[in-house]
This record gives sequence, C-alpha cells and structure tokens, in this order.
Amino acid sequence: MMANTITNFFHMGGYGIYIWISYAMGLLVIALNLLLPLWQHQKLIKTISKKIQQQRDVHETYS
Amino acid sequence: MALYKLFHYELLTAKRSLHECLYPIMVFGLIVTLFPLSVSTDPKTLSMIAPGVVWVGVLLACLLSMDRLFREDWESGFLDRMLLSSQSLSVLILIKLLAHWVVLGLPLILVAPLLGLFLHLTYQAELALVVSLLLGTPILMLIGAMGVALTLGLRNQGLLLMILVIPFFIPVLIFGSSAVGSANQQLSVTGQYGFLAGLLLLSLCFVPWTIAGILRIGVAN
Amino acid sequence: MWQFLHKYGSPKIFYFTAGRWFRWLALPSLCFLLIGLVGGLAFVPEDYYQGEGFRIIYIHAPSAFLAMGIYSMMAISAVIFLVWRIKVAAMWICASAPIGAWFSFLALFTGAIWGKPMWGTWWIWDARLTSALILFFLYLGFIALQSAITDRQVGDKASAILVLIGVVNLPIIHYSVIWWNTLHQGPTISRLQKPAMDPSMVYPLYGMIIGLFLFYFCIAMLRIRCEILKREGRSRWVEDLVREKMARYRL
Repeated sequence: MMANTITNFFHMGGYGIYIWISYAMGLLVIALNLLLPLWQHQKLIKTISKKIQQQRDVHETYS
Repeated sequence: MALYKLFHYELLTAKRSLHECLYPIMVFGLIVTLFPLSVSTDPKTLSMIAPGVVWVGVLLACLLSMDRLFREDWESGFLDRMLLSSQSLSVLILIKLLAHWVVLGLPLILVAPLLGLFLHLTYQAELALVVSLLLGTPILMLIGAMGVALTLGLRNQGLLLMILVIPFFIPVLIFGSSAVGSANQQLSVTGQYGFLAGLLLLSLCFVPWTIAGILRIGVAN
Repeated sequence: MWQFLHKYGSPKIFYFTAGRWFRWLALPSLCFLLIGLVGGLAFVPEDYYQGEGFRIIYIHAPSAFLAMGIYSMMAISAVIFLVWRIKVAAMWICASAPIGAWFSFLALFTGAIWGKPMWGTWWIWDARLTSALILFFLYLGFIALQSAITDRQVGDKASAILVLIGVVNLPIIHYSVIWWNTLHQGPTISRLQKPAMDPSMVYPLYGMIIGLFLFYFCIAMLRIRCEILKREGRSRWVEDLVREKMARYRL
C-alpha cells in the first residue's frame, strides 16, 4: 500500500519525468544563485587578503 | 546654415570612402543569395520566405554599416567639437543620422526590389517592400545609433552592438516583413504602414535626445 | 529622508546592512519556497484538464513573473541612479541582471518541458514564450555590455540608460509579438483555456511567488556585497574588514 502510493507519487500520472526534471532544474537554479555569490564573496576576501599580505611583505623588506 | 554644413561635410566624407559605403549592399546581396542555395529554388517557397529574408538582410546590412557611425568622429575629436557646439547636440545627431541614411540606407532600399525580383515577389509586394523599407530603415538606424553610442570605443564593438540592438529591432522586423508578406498575398497593408509610421515618429522624438545623453556620459571621461 | 538615503547610499554602511537583511530574509524566503514547492508537488489535487502535468506551473509561472519583476526593479533603480546619483542603485542593477537572466532561463526551460506533454513539442512560437525568450536575450545583452565596459562610472551610467531604453521598448516588443502571434497561429495547436483555479491550487503559487521575490532580495544583497568589495577593494574599511576576517579564521 505504502509502496504503491510512493510509486504513484513518482509516476505522477505519466507526467513524472517532466515534473521531476522541472522541479530539479528549479532547485538547481535556486541553489546556484545562492552559492555563486557566496563563493564569489569568499574569493574576493581571499584576493584582498593576499594583496594585503603582499603589501606587508613589500613594506617589511624595504623598512 | 551650420546644420546644412554638417550635412554636406558628412556626405563629403562618405564620398571620400565610397567603396566602404558599398560594403553593406554587398553583404545584403550575399545574405539574400544564400537562401535560395540553402532552402530551395522552388519559386513558391522562395516567394513565401522572401519578405523575411529581404528584411533580415536589410537589418543585418544596416547593423554592419552602423559601427563606423561615430567611430571616426570620436577618434578624430570631431565628436568633442560636436559636444561643445552651441547647436543642440540632438539636432546635430539627427542631421548626422540623416546623412548616414542617405548614404547607406537609400542604396539598400534601391537594391532591395531587385533582390526581391530574384526571390519571385509579386509587384504589389515589391511596392510594399519599398514603402516599408522607407519607413523602417530610419527606425533601424536610429535604434542602431543608440547601440553605437553605448558601445563606442569598446572591444568587439560590432558583435556587442548586434547583441544589444537586435532585440529592439524585432517590432520593426515583424511589421515590415508582415507588410511585404500581406502584399504578397494581396491583402491590405495599411495597418502595418501605420504601425511603422508610428514607431518612426516615436523614435524620431526620443532617440536623438537619448543618444545625446549617452554621448555626454561616454565622452566625458 | 535625504539623510536616510545618503546613509544607506554609502557603500560602507550598505555592506553591513545588506548582510543583516540577507540574514533576516533568508529564512522567510526559504519557508515560502518550501510551502510552494511541497504544496505544488504533493498537496495540490490534480487538474481536471491537464492532469498532474500542471504541477510544473508552480515553477514556471513564478519564475517568469520574477524575471519580469526583476526588470522593473532594475528600471526603478536606474531612475533612482540617474536622478539622485546613488551608487547603491547602480550596484542593485548590476546585481539584478544575472539573477534575472537565470530566472528567465528557468522559465524558458520549464516552459519547454511543459510544452512537451501538453502541446506535443518542446517549443512552439507562442507569444508568451517568445517574449520570455526576448527578455532572456535582453538580460544577456545587458550583462555583455556591463562586462565590456571597464570604466565603472561610465559603465554604471551606460547600463542604467540601457535599462531605461529596454523598459520603453519592452511593451512595444511584447505587443508586436502578440500581434504577430495571432497572425501566425498554427491550426493544430491551440492553447488550453484556463479554467478558474481552485483556491487550494492558488496558495502554493502565491507561496512560490512571495518566496522567489524574497529570495531575489536575499541574493541581490549578497551580490551587492560582492560588488562593493570589488569596487572598494582598496579603501581602508575593506582592508580592516578583511584583516578582521583573516584573524578570526586563523584562530
């Protein structure tokens, strides 16, 4: 009985594959939109910190 | 008087590089030639696709002729002089575009019926083609000039111009090609002419002014 | 009012405000999205005309709606930027464009998938799908222009003007596409008429729309933070901030 409902749920009256692909794509787009700016933010912080490090090194060698 | 001088100057510079003014026409002819070779040589099919083919050809030829619109003036510093001129910048731009249309748009309109003949358009359709092009090409040039002003001095200017501007050409393309198509089927085309004329008036009102604004921010740096 | 605008218009203050807004908005947006997604997938009864296939609408319609909404938000911020010269408004435009492109892509993708079982083909040149496609291209062109202009100040103004040109043209393009579509409508494919939706079907739709708009605000905040770091990378407060973060992560 339980198994039957679950297969029915995945089957969706024959439209299963279309529906699941759409929902997967929707989730993918939402996740990517959340993750891409977070990654970019981290990368920016890293590049800026590297720059600061370099400046400090240059400063130390010359002083 | 100054306006007439500018017009005259534009025509003179065009005359100096006359062969360059022929490039868009050659491109137009070549684009149209590709279609019978790639689709079909059947007269019926050709006359069915002809409105779209000719209009797309004109559209691309116009775009290709655009990217040198402000380039030389910008490089030679003439644009800065236009910006500092006591005349209203948008009027100067309108004159410049008028000259551009006379030099590059009119020849396209003259060649188009000839190419339409190759594609088996009927005589009514040829007439509709010329009228719709007369109404449509100025709009194409006005909208294209906005794109040129936005992309002035950028790398890959030509391609960027196409990406930016082609979506805005869609209404002109729809009404222009549908006028030719309707005339080809002996239907009335006044509606399409009306839309094109309306679009032309609208863009004549707003576009020169917008271009002036864009040029001011771009050249100011 | 003016003080408020200038306070939030300053990139430094906005960087921290944006972070706070993100934290506040993230959870509600997630809740609404969950309501919409789970409701749309599991709790809504199947449609009489379209069977289970109509469940795609819970992704398709809200994302198309959001794609258009984002364009109007960009237009408003373009006006704010051009009139009051508030930098954050320009950054808002920059941040919005990629999100708009993503969601118009999602609308097109789900539209095509919906079309396959409903119309029997992946793509038809239906007026709405065509307008969505053109909107997608507009977003791409906008992003292309933005990445091509290296001078930030010129780039901001140029893209604000492009957004306004687009806003004036969008209705013209939209209505000419509709007119064109009524001329060329294929005889075999007719759109399914939409019966009035049952209220239980509408709630997940509202949930998705609200959730997606909140989500848009959230990630626009994140993107604005990135944009601020990119532009103000050399200023004192950014360096202090980065030093602080470095110290915290080392400990």
